[in-house]
Amino acid sequence: MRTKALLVLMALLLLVGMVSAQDTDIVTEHSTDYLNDETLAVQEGEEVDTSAYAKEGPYTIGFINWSTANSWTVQIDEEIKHEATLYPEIEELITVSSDGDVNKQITQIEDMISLGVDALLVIPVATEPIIPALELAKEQGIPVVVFASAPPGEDTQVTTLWADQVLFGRLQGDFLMEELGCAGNIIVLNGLAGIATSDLRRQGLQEAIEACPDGGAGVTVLAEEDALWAYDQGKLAVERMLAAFPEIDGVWSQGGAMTQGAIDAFEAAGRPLVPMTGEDNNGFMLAWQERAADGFEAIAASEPTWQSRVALQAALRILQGIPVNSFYRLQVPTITSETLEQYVRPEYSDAYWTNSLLPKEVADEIYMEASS
Amino acid sequence: MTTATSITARLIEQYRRSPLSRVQPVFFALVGMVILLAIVSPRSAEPSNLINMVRQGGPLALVAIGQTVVMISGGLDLSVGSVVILADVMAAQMISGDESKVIPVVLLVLAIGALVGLANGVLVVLLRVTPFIATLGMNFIVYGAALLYSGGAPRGDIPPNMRFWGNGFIAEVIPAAAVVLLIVALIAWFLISRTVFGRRLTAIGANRRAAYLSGVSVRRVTLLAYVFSGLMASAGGLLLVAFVGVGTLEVGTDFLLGSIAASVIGGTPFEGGKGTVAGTIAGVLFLMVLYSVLTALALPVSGRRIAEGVIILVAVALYARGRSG
Repeated sequence: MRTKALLVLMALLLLVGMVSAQDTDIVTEHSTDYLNDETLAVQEGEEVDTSAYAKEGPYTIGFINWSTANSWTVQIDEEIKHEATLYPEIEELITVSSDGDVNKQITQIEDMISLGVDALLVIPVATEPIIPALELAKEQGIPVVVFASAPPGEDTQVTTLWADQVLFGRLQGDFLMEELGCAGNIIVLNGLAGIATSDLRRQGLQEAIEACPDGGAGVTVLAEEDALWAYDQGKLAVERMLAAFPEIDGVWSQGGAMTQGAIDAFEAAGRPLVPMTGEDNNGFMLAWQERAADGFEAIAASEPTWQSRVALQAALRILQGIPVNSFYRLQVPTITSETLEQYVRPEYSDAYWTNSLLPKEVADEIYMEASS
Repeated sequence: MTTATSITARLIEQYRRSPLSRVQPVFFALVGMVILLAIVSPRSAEPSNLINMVRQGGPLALVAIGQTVVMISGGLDLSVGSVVILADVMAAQMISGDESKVIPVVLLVLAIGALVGLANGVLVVLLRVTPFIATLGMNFIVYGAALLYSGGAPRGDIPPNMRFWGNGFIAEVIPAAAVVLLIVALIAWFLISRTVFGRRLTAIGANRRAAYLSGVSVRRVTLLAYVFSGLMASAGGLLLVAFVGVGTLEVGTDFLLGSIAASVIGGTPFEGGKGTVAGTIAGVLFLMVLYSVLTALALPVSGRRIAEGVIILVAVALYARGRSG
């Protein structure tokens, strides 16, 4: 009788233990689990045993952003800062920016190690050069989560989260090929040659062209320029292209404010708008919305700013000793004329990226335009 | 052989005596580039499009005029790129689409630009920091200020009455930005070529010690040169924001290298002592026409870069040759 009761008790305890072990996942306790949401992040690579990194809170987390010089990286910062406030277990989130300087980034990684952060999140400026610094972190038992980039080394980081940039360009390209029926002259606006994001997105366009029934024989790329994802360069480049080429049937722009510049250049030249591709920045989305009724066709692909939240969740899982995968391929959502209304925010500034998980009150604070 | 050489020598001699020799080489380069454009893309070389290039180059030309003045004095202003961005975000955020605020904000932003220039001047003249270091440091400070001011997320937009000056056309043909540029250029030309300040500026750049010994207030003139450059950089930022329409930290145009390249192509040597406003504006237009040629040729990006570098180097080298010859 006694042994039986003891067994039941033990079984109960075990059950409670199991349940509570699951409950102690602080990610599901305080936030929404984005990491294991297949619509946001697809698990790839292998499962990594993180038990060696398990430790009790409170945690100090370091985040090194590659820059805060553009609105996208600024929003990445805002998203992670907000996510961090959700967890009482996070004592401090230290965020710094490398200003696009890889040497600075290496120093910052070393600084974070000496500060004794419990986990480190990095958007690499360049992958190769930071490997030794990341190895140093690994030696010190600090788990590293890399995101918005290819993985720097084989196992310098516990996990990497990266949106498929080729797919990004491909989705934009597929839209354009469909609009043009795989026939016509297009112009191309890239970011900057030599930057992986720019080159891979451009590769995606090439795949879309070659996927045409005739292998892309009916499509001519008239001109191609690097416009640094910026409005001024995008507009100037398209003005020059419009002057040189009388017949342009479509604009493939990698995004940023370049597409907005392209729209304005077409209108300034008195040329009818053609189908264009872009990104989910509010400036372009507003310009698109204003012209949608007049038959302007466009698509926006999105490299989500909420990925910094997902990266933080991965770090928190690792610190709890919960296994994660070595790679997460982030989905590339697209916004079409059907879904445009759900995303565009007329009351916000152009600097807002519309595929955001920032709560309204936080976004209002940062992006609300003064009512004029 | 001998005849060929003597014919060339005679031609050179004739050229030297003709009024043509007083025309700066940059104008020949500009005309040559326009002819090249007309060959590779006749459409691009139509007069309406050529006039449009004045508008495209407007913001850079304003910044480059300021850079030229500092370079004539033998200095260099590396802070111009950040001043452009600061002017851009401040103007958009303070004006926020309100037409009545345009004039006071424009004046304020110009004053801030002049203030940055003054700080550069003080560093260079009073604290004797070399121009390269002083203005490089200032570049970081001003960029930081722009980030701080905008919180990284610039807001605000430019109302139609101001956008007109960056985007609009007077009588449907003359870009308003070209008018702005013309007025500023005339003022700057007058300042450099027709005033005591201009003569002293040139004297300082040519030979600082001699200028000092002949009683020129080297310090005051140098200080004013930096103030003028700061003022021009903020004017360039204002014209840019009128062109773009919203405040943005993401300015793709390289105002620093562009302004130095235009000045040098336009005949202002690095060591100072000479330089003209007309030459610098021609330098900016040369770059604009060059970009159109490269676009029309539809070169791959790698080829574009190489061609751009080679052509700028050749233009500068030709100038140096013309100068020594």
